[in-house]
Amino acid sequence: MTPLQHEYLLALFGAYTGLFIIMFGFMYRMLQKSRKLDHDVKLLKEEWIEQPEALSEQGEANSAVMPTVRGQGMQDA
Amino acid sequence: MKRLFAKDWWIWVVLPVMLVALYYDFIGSPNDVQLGASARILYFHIGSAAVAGIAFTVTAIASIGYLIQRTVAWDIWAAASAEIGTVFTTMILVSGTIWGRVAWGAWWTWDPRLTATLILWVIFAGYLLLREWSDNFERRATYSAIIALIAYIDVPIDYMTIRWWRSIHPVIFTNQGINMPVSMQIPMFLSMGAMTLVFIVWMAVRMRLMRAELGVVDLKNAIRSHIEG
Repeated sequence: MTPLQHEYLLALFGAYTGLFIIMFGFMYRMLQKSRKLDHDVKLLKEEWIEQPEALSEQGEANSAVMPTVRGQGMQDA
Repeated sequence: MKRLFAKDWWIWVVLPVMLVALYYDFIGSPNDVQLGASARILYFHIGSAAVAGIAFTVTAIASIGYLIQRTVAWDIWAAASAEIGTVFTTMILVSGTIWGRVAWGAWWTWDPRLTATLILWVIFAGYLLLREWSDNFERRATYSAIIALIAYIDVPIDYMTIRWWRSIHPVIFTNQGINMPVSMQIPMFLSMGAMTLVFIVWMAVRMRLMRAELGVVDLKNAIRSHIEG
């Protein structure tokens, strides 16, 4: 192997090393994205579970409004 | 840097193994008598081929599993493995064409091995496109499993092409042994081992992301069905 060939091979080794470091960096980012998605889904689920309860409580507080006149009950109408 | 290794340290364990394999491939291995330094493409090429074979076998097993049990986990295994297998098949084709230019003087010939590999790549590219286009989970998973099983027929054919038919592609693994000197076998097996480890890590990471994405879809569907009554 000539010294020039050796240098070329070293350069190729460096280039491939760089490529694999980038590849592992992408994998790390994929893991971060997974973790963020899991966290967001958990938050949204919690929010969604609380929301229907709040809606039903609100519904019970403001029950159906019947048309009435002051001093006259439902039977008079 | 500290944060980088805090939770996901395990993915970085494989990187030094891969770098050692690359060092052996490029610096530690001898020149080939006929091809000189360019023979080193072979280590990367064979490593990619081994991983693609493993990946598509995992896809086929998981596809059978899905068709029998109809569970999401099997579909995730199949899809993740098919994606990675397709990337490694692309690497086979790219490194193979470069090696072909050096060894045969042509970037591409319609040799049985090359043609079978190209067919495999095209079918799995179609598989991945189908997964992107369909929104119906069950239909997508069923059709994908069927396509994967059809595509998998090409894997043993691809392996046997150079044994069954006249081919210019070299046969490394023969019934008489490995058709390669020991000094070249070491970087070859090192490359195969390191790439298999990369495949395992990649699978774990990709499946994790797929499960997280599925969680978003499930939540979206639950909210939609709640709103629609």
